[in-house]
Amino acid sequence: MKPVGWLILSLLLLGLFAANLFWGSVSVPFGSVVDILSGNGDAVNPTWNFIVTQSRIPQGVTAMLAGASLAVAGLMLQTAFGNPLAGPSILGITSGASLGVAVVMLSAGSVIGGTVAGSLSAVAGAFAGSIVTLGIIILFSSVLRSSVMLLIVGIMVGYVANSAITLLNFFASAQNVFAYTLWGMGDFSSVTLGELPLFVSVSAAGLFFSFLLVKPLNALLLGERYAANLGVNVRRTRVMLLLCTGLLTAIVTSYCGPVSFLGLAVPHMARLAIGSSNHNVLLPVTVLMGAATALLCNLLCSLPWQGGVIPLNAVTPIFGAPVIIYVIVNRSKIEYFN
Amino acid sequence: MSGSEVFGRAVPFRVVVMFRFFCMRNFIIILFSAFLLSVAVSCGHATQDTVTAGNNLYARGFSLSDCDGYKILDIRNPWDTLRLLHRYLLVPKGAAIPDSMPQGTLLRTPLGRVAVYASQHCAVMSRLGVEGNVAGICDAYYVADTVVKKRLKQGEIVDLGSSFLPDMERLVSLSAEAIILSPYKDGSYGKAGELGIPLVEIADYMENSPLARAEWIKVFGALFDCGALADSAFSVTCSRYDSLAAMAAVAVERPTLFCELKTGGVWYQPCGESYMAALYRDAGIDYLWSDTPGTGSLSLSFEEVLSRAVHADLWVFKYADETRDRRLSDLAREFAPYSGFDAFKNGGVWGCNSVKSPFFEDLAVSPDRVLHDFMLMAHPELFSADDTAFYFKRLEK
Repeated sequence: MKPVGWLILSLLLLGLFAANLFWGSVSVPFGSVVDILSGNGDAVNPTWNFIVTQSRIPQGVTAMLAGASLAVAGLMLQTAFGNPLAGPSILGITSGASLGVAVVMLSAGSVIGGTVAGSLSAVAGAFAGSIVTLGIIILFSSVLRSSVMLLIVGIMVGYVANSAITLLNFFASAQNVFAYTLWGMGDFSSVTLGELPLFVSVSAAGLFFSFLLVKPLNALLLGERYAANLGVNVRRTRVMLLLCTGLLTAIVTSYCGPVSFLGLAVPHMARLAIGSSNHNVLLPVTVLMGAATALLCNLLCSLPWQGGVIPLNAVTPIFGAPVIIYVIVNRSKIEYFN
Repeated sequence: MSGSEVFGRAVPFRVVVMFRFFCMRNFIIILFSAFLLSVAVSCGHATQDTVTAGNNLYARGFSLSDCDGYKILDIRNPWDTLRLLHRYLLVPKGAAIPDSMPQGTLLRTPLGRVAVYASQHCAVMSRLGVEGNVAGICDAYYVADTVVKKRLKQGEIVDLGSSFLPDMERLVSLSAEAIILSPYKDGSYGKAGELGIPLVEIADYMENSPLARAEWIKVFGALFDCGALADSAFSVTCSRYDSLAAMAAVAVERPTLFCELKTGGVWYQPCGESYMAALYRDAGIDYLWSDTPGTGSLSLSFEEVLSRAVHADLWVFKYADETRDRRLSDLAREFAPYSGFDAFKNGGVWGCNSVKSPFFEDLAVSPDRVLHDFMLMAHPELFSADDTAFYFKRLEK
């Protein structure tokens, strides 16, 4: 990609991040936001100061990192399994996180009515669920040689988790079912300023880890046998990929719920933008585009003219679905598939 | 067309009264003639045609009409108020079924064993002393009534499972004379609707004022043949509610209030014309979203709630926790920005643990007790020092 492309992408990301700080469901004057961001928050309305520092900044950072993490997880899984429709939810890790949250939220009397997302117990439940599912997948990956078989195992694990969720839902109180349903709609606002360091460190570690896997990912584009001939330890790479994608998906799903389509669609958007599958370029472009798309979706969820907020997962498919349809329809013409 | 249709649904009594003031005299005469004619038609051989539909003080969702040897209970469709949801013909057990009755579902009163889908309706039956007629109940988890709970535990009342998917075999085995349930918009009752057991659709939850909902006890009074007791119970509720509201009306200060907690990315607040907003208003509280139209809920973001409610005096919410009551520190741990509200800093947060108190059950039948709690929070000076809330507790640090 040309330097001007990087510049445009970086400016787009910065612009969207700034838009997330300046615009929201409450109108805060431009000058006041500038004052708050430049450290003169004491001079402005304390409520606006609180909104920007305690709500918009953590939400913007969360959206940026969550978008990047899910997009990278999706990219790595698409490459590892050679399947353009692979995404973070395909391996059952999202379902595992959902099951963890369901156990915490839907078991009677365990969760305060309403505020489930964002509560420590729900986050812990989601993370535990993801890691257990990931452990099962990694265990199978040591037995199964074929990536397709592993993919099928992942899907089956997801079904089993969903079966348990259905059961928990059925016996739960309406209040808890409602709270769980809302958690399932996705949300970037549940990470507080205090929780942000943990979220940032884990997701940044996952993203950093993914950059170390660029070479084996490029080798895997040629197929597992070619990759092995090139000296790549395919089985070990697969475990590393699973660990990395599992960590990224787990941390995002724990705090933000199962965010749909970003992991599936953004890697395709990145490939279409650069016309290449070379992970040296594709991975950083995916990071930037994932972050930008998530910020745009977050912005659309809470624009002032809407008179309230709409769920995140009501917005993400607007970007995701057309991209997937375009990719499928034009598969034969798209360079990176050939 | 029956008289109850004229006065109960299409043309409510209050509207007719307003017409008397604002419309032409001729129109009133025509309307009155139509009313008399329709009563005569609907009640057939009525000897004493007393249409009680217009006698509802608050409720708009039902009308009861006394006819010769039977009663007509009309349930208005809450989603299309010009249409009838269900008509019931209540004929006393042992009495001959009158020849000329309008079309409707026949119920022989007093009802014996019944299946109840909602615990709130169980609470209404308990108020009338007919809780012994409950043979089966759905959503047993919500039941807070100790007698019903005990009977459930002893197996005298059958747990029918979820009200969305009741256990049909258990339902059939009850040999219930009727199934009392809450209707949903365009909802179907599945196999329960095909069992041949009459479904009594109680749409009380669609009323927008506390006393209107409480007035539905009269329907239960008619079903279980204890109308006088139901009237008396409702009068007591009205009297208590009105006297409390009168106290609140003269209070000088009107504390501001917001409610509930953030769920995911959304913070729901009831609309200004909702049931809860009416309770807050009657309690002498300045509810911060009282200016919004509609009877449902507003889906707000955290920052929208914060910007309007940051200086609010009171914050009330309901939660379910079997293990213990919530503290302020729990709220701060769950979502740290909650601590930005003045109500949080000044001890103005009140929580109702709905698992440990019959809040939702009593809301339907004893709104005066719920009003008492809100007034105690907002106007403690109107109560004695040893007066305590029934359902809410101030959150400790």
